[in-house]
Amino acid sequence: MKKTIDEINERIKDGSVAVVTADRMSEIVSELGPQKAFEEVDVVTTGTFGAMCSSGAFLNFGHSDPPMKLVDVWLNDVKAYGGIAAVDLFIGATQASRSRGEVYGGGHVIEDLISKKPIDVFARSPGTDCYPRKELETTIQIDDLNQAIMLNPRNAYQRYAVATNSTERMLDTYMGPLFPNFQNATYSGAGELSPIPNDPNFDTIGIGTRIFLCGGEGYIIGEGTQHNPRGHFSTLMVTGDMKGMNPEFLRGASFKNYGPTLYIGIGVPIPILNEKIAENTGVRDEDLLTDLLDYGIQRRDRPVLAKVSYSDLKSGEIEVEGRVIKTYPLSSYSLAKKVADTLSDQIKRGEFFLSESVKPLSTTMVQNPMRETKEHPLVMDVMVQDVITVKEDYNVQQVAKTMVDGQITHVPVVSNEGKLVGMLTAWDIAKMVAQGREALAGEIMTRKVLTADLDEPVELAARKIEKYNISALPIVNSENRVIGIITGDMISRLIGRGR
Amino acid sequence: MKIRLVYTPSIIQEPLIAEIILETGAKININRADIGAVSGEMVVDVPEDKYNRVVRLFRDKGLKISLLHQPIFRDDARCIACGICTLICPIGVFTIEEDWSISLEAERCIQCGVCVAVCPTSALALSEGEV
Ligand code: SF4
Ligand code: SF4
Repeated sequence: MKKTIDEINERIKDGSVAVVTADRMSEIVSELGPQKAFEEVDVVTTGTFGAMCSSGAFLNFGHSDPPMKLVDVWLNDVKAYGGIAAVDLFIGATQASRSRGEVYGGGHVIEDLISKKPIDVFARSPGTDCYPRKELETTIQIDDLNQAIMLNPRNAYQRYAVATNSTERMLDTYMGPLFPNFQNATYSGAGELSPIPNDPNFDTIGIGTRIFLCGGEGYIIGEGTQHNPRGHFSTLMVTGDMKGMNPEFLRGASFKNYGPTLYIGIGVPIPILNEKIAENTGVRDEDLLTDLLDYGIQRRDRPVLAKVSYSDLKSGEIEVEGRVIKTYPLSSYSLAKKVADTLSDQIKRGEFFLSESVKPLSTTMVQNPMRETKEHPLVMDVMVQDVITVKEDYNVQQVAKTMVDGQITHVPVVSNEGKLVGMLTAWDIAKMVAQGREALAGEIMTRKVLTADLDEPVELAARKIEKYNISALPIVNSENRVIGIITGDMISRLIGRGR
Repeated sequence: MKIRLVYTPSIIQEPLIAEIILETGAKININRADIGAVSGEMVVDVPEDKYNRVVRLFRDKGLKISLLHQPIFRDDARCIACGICTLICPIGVFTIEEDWSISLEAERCIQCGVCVAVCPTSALALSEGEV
């Protein structure tokens, strides 16, 4: 037995359509089985509401008089991309304001437009014979624009990795604040309510699928960027007319020490055309696994610490190797539910009809990491290998002499077995001398020592040095013996040479 | 009841709070204290029954007082119920409820301010209090 989208649209028209939200459908499928569920339900509505950085909008301003090619343009002091014709612009969600920094950005401009707030426009141009004007200042709101079209290259991730932090330092990330030593984990996505998990093989979702986008009507126009169906990280590229959107279903946002973004509400209706599709929409949070990643490792390939399910995540804590980690959502489940409920109501009221997709999304696309043609130096390429060290029982005098003889300003302190136990700087020694105090290296050294790895890019070592305001990082081997040292001075010299 | 005290650093030298506690027998709880170069600020919790007397004494000693009936405000039109505030608040003012709404017990807030900086939609603001 089968149904068609036309038949479902007929039922929407005459009001007899049976619509349920995806969380309810999971219960129906497990109670009645897929066959019965297929017979009872025509449409399943999904929803998600999360921070979707890869979002933006095309805006058309119409021509000024005298005309001007809008080249360098700021909307509420947020830079928009003007390299497309004369009066078309693209504003991206994560662009930060020139004057206000990370607290206001492209995502806020998009929200303010949809909320019909006035937007200050400032533009500059070199001027041409056909576009003579060089500077322009005006204030517009969305109704003054000819078109305001949201176009988001990557939205509605199938699932998203969970973030935690193994280091001893707090991290501010796009996954929110991550406390030291695995104190918390943050996750994103609505799990069984999310669009793609309900149709992971794209039996119905494709190019041309009509969707609910930020309260208005939108369309899927293709695979999102980084669409990775084999890895279960599929994404959607979507578009919609901003003039029909509702500010309740999107929100300009900013993550501390990361910057601006845009929270977006997306709902995709899944027509239950056959039993197989019904079965897929029966997906439950416990079936949806995702990776727990250590954001303390600042590399592309972060180690996967564990596989966890959305039901574990939603329970508020996960257990990893005997350790309990508290979990916190970053996306809004209550608004995701509201998206699915609202879409469901629109279909029941005959206000939203389903569309036939013209081409399903790819199930085979693969994604590769960036090709980098310029080698970046690693710590092992630049570190000093003959490291001068001092022993824990050296007195201030001996440490000072070692530093002067070696012409160094930092010195690792090692135990009798040669293992790294601390660091001393010229400043620590100067303080002791100034106070006329006697002490042993082991008593005054800094015990918590940040180290660098041999194969760590110098760039990352430089960031540690800058962020934690230190001046040197020792490199240790697996036995915690010092095998090298890299200092801020070395890095500045290297960068000075390279650029 | 919570109050915010603003004082000059010179007052810190005096055992002010101790004196008031001894005089009134009120169990005053210091929620938070910041001491800067030119001024200091403290949020304290005062038991309801001794509240009026304690406030009068603080005023007599020359401290500026604001009453924090509701130390933190949330703009519910901006809040998206993401739950990040539940993660960051050291006091546990915010809670994720069964239905995924986020409740807040504003009166427990000690005005540390971290949630204000972390809330992605700028939905939270500290109250100035009533003078
Ligand atoms: S962090 Fe802000 S937006 Fe998120 S739930 Fe708390 S108040 Fe609401
Ligand atoms: S300011 Fe925010 S984080 Fe601090 S106690 Fe109050 S509610 Fe909690």
